[in-house]
Amino acid sequence: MSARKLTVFTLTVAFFSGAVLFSSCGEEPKAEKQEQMPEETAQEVNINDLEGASVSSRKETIKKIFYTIPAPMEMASLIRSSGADFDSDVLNSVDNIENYITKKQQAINLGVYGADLSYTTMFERTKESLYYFSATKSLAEDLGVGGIIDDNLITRVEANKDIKDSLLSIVSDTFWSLNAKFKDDGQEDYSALLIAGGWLEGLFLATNHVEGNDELRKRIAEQKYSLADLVSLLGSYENQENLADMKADLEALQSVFAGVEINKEKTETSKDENGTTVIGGASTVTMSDETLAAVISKITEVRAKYIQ
Amino acid sequence: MKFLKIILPVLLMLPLMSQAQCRSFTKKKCLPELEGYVQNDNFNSAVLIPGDEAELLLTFYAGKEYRLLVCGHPVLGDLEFEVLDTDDEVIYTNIDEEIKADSKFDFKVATTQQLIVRIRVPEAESSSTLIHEGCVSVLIGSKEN
Repeated sequence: MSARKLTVFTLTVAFFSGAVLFSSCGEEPKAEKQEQMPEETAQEVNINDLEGASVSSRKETIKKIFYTIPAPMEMASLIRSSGADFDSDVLNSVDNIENYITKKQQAINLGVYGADLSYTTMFERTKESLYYFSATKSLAEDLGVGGIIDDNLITRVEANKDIKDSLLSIVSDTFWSLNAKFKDDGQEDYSALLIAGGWLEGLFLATNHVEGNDELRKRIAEQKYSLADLVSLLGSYENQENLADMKADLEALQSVFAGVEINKEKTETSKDENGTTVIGGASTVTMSDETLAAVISKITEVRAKYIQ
Repeated sequence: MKFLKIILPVLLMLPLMSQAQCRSFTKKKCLPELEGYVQNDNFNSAVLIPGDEAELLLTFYAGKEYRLLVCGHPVLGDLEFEVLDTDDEVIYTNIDEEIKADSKFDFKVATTQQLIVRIRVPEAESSSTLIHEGCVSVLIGSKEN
């Protein structure tokens, strides 16, 4: 961006600060001010582009670390693509929703129901998906973020209930928005619990389909990576009061996953026939029967503690 | 004095307004770029200034196709980003004159692995004493190979 554009931007920010400042004093609405901008200026800096930018009060630079883990939708996709069959008995019953009284329980189980919703959607189970969407809406309302799942969204769900890709997109959009809203509202601990609940349920669902499924067994072993990231995510928040139990349980699970062996060699890249980069390289992930049994036992125990 | 009482809270609120706007900015300006992909539901967004850096570590699964999108407010200029493996070997960089403006990296993963995304907000070209801040969001979408 050129110096001139930056100057225009600064002036525009100042202009809007003034608009905010004096709007309560009977000044014209912002939209009318926008229309009155000189044409040349309006072309250089779209007024709508002011959203998401401002003048900083900070001068020292920082290094921001994002901790993130794959979405439950990815695990549901892995389960489906491994050839597993749908099993409604392994899901957390929507009837349990009445048991979730505290905000902490609600945040964790919002994640759990989100993973179940991802699973039912991935397997194109419309009736079950609508149940879980309803449970998600109810918990979101209890947590004060019900506005994310408004009537328009419900209408979209109803209209797209038989179109798998559209429903997958709506589900992932919804959970992204819930996460974002928690962070906007300074409730990052709820965001972390939602993510943790979703990951736990995703792993639990995978372990319930692993018998005789070598592909899924490998995918479960690979969760060693994501678990480490999840523990780091929970450890990154200042407000640890709500996160301590979950972090301890995940660390206990981590000690079980220590039995998973990962031998990684040099990363290699190549291009496929369409010119898309392919990232590969030899790496092997192995998990003994004993380790798998221990993972299944531990995830079942931890999940039961949080969904009861 | 009365003017100061009014202007000071507004000036103090500016960074907060910007933070709160990140979700809306990301939804309107960035998410449409992930069309055709299922987005990761984590919200990785921060308000950054020139010279800031950000880093993200994520596991990518074998057999999937991904789109990495580093989306920043235009006031920050063209963001630079690299994708590295866990040995710090650079796999991809947009710090190349031909593709610098590209904020997307589409790739496939043959073997499950953790990758690091390192982002840098370029130093401001302007000599203005005012420092601009803007939202930076890192989005990841996936689809079946």
